[in-house]
Amino acid sequence: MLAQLRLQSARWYLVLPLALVVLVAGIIVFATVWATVRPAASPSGVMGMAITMASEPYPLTVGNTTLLVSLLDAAGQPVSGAEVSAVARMRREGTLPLAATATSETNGVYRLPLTWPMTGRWDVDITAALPGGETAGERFTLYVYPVPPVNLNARTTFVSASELAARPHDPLQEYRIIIPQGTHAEMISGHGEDLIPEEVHLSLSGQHVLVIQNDDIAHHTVGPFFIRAGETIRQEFRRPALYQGGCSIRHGAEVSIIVDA
Amino acid sequence: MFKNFVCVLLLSVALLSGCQSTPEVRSEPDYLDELHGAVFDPPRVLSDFSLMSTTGEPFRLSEHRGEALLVYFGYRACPDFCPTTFAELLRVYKALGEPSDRLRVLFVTVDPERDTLENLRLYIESFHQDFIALRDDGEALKQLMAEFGVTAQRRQLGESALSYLIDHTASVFLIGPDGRLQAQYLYGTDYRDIVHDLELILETV
Repeated sequence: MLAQLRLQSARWYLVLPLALVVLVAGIIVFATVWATVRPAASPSGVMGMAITMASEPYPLTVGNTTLLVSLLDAAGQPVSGAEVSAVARMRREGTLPLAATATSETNGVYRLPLTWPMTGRWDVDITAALPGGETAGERFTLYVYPVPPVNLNARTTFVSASELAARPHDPLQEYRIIIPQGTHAEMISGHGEDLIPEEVHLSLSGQHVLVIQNDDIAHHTVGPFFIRAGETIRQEFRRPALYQGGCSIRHGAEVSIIVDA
Repeated sequence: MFKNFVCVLLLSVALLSGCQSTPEVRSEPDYLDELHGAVFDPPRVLSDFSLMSTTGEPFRLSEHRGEALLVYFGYRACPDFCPTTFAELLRVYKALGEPSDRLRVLFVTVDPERDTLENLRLYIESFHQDFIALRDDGEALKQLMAEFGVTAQRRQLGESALSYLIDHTASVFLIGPDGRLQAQYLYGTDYRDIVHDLELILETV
């Protein structure tokens, strides 16, 4: 009896750690699987639902076009049987909104014919009434060109509001400049707004990282940086500095980047 | 007994942590996030340029995979940016122990009208005999400058014997061992920042 007790107490230090390990392993496996498959919070309103949009032609031009809206569920599978519609509003007062509904669907890709009356920047709100009764939505801000432009960006889908929100950004340390599609066209047409001020002020004790993301179909210059279409450039400044140069995202065509101590 | 318990526990946890770390598949070099220069994301794909060089042979990009390249666009008569930049690049090169088999320092002239290969060789080797100058007076130079986003514009001088100066991009560009443009160093970047980045990169070469 005594020997049996001694044997049991001698084994507890083997059994207990193994039990702990099994427990920890279970937690890790669960966490890993959950992180992989869990639906991400989405502005679409439906957990994990991804709404992307392309077009024919891409980018869009004035006249008859077709929006290609793709619906994917949380598992990445195409969603069929939804009712998809679009409302497009131009960012210029006095312009009536446009509406479109899907006329056909293939493998989760919905085709919405839409005729654009005017060149410029538009907000397109997509709404998808899903077969299960839920409704998902997404916003795309895009540019409608007067004629088919030269597209220097390898990307073939529009940037969504969800994508923009999901990009890593630390506003305390980063001064971020996002160059949207159509910026070059707006600048040469004389319309549009300056994306940055004449002087960009950075501070080593605050925003000391400059991030420039070029979503346009054209290359751009911002001071000493040349950013190709689709490219991002990231510069962390470590010393006070002053850089001046040409700028393609300001009507003044020049910018100063000032890094203060 | 408690000591044994701790030993078994630590061993188990160590084994567990080893098992759960799966190798991450990444298409970009790990060091990109640590570079002190301005980093291109994604690294910019360049054409396989080929320009005549002061070595007497054409310098073709694809023949230098596995090496880091520092590229600067300038001209021999430049009174300020070019000589000061190359003085800094010399410090970089020496600080790294002159790794001639893994690092190339390139000077591309934007003034082919005045810069012959012979006077370029004298100029560039005055900084270091390992440094190389490249020259082209046609489309190859224009295309290369366009890919880097480099500008060069003549500024006429009145009575000067120089006749003209050239306002040009004064950055140093880093082409990684994979042949893509990975970083840009603005004029005035401390040479230690470039050394820092090259040490990271040369470790992988």
